[in-house]
Order: sequence, then structure tokens, then C-alpha cells
Amino acid sequence: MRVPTLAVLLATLVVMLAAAPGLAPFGDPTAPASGHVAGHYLEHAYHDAHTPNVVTVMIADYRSFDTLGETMVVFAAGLACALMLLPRGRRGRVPRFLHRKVNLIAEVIVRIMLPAVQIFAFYVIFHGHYSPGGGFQGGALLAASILLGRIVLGRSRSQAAFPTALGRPLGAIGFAVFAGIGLVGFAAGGAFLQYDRMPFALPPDMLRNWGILGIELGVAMAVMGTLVSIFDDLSVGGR
Amino acid sequence: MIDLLIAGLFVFAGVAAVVALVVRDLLAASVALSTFSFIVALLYVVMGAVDVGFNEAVLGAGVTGTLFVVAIFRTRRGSMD
Repeated sequence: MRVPTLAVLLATLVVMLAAAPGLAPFGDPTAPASGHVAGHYLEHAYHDAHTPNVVTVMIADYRSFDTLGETMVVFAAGLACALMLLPRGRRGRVPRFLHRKVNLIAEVIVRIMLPAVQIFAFYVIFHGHYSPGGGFQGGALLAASILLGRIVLGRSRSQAAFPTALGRPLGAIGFAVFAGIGLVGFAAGGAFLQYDRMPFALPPDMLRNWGILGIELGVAMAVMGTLVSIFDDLSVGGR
Repeated sequence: MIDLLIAGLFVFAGVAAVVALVVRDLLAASVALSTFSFIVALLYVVMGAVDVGFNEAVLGAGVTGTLFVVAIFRTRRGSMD
């Protein structure tokens, strides 16, 4: 490692260590982060959205506009990869390591693992109201299972499981689902992403519950499609 | 006892981070980075941020490592530094 790099790293370390004592103590109830709205969220989350997992209610309901922005960032990152890599990549060849001879041990292990990972991913998405996880984690798990297949199972079988052409459209559809659910409440006279104004005959807290599920599905599709398309652009595009 | 385990995790995370910086083989560096992400995910879970730990384990230790490996295969394996 060169000396300037080391100097920058050490300087950053010193700054971080100097700033660390300024942080609030772990679990401090008087810390600024636990002060303003945290108590309101903890008290009202179950009553508002009929969802025990407060983190999910915060991410997908109270701060869903923030989550919409995050989903857009992920999708934009995928588009940026495509724009940088694809224009020359239409002539690009598939790299050797993606269609070499399949390793038997790795293949057997992956074929046992893949269904378990995918089922767990759907569990994470649909059970996000009650346990840790949600659309983002579930979508990333689905994408990880596809990438594992891409690397281990060889090109033809992994393409049959999830074609490259499907990745970016799936990301766009997921983002559209998210924004579309937001627009339903908006069209019915509420605010953007105000689920309890959606025109269905359900009590408001159940409407928010279903709205959260719809948003999680949109996020999962967007994240999965985008991550797979980034991988495909990286491995096939460019050069 | 649990404090000792957490302290060990912090030390292990530091070691993994330094290894990822110092080692010249980029494939080894990406593996060390995945190790670092996994330890940090464990630390998040210990601190009660289960959702964040989940994200870190899936994205930091899983998907990012895969993307690094693909990028290394498309470029060069040795570090210029």
C-alpha cells in the first residue's frame, strides 16, 4: 500500500475516533433520535396500521415517500450500469466463467439451497408485517438466489430460470406498482401514498396494512429486477 | 461473557477490514470484505437492529461480493496499489 493512501486512511481513522465520543450512549432514552417522533411511532403503529412490526410501519407507511426515493435510487443505479455498459455490450461475449463446465459438488449444494432460499425470500416479503424483513430484504434474497444460479448452474439453466431480458422490466414494474399504489389514495382525495383513502370497503387500519403489503411487493420486484440486471450488465456488457 | 464475544467481533471486523485493504489479490480482498459485512451484520443484530442486520447480511455479504467477483473476472485480478 502506498504512503499517501495509508496517510489518508489513518487521518480518517483519527477523525472517526475523535468523533465517536460525541455519539449518544447505546440505548439512551434521552438521545435526540429517541426524542421527537419515536414515542409516537411506538405508541400508535399497531393502532394505525394493524401491524406489530413497528419498523415495517415506519418504512412502508409513515415514511413511505422516503422509501419511494430509495427504490428510485436502486432503479437509477441499475439504469446507470446499463447506460455505461450496454451500448458497446451488444457485441460483448459471455465471459468464460459463466459457461464453463459445471462443478458437481457445487451444483448439488446449490440445487438443494436455491428452493430454500427462494421460499425464505417470499416468507420474508409476506411476513414483513410480523417479523424482521420486508420487500427490500426479500427482493435482495431473490436476486441473490438468481445470481447463485447464474454462477454455479451454467448459462442455459440459469437463463431458463430468469432470463436477462426480464430484469430491467421487472424493476420498472416494481417501481410502478409502488408509485401506483401511492396514486390510488391520491386519486381518491387523500395525500400521495395515503393508503387509508384507498376506495375499498375496509377499516382504515386494514387498508394501511394492505397498502404496506402492496408496497413491499413493489419494492421486492424493483430490487430483484435491478440487482439481477446489474449483474447481467456487468458480466455480459462492456468491452 | 457476551461483552467478550462482542469485543471479539469488533476485533475480527477490524482485522477483516485491514486484510481487505492490504491484500494484493483482489479476489481475496472481496472475500475479506464479505467477511467484514457479515460480522457487521452480526453486530447490528446484537444491537437490536435486526432489519438493518438482515439487509447487511444479504446485500453486503452476498450480492456485493458476487458483483465484485464478476467485476474482477472482467478486469484484472491483481491490485495496482
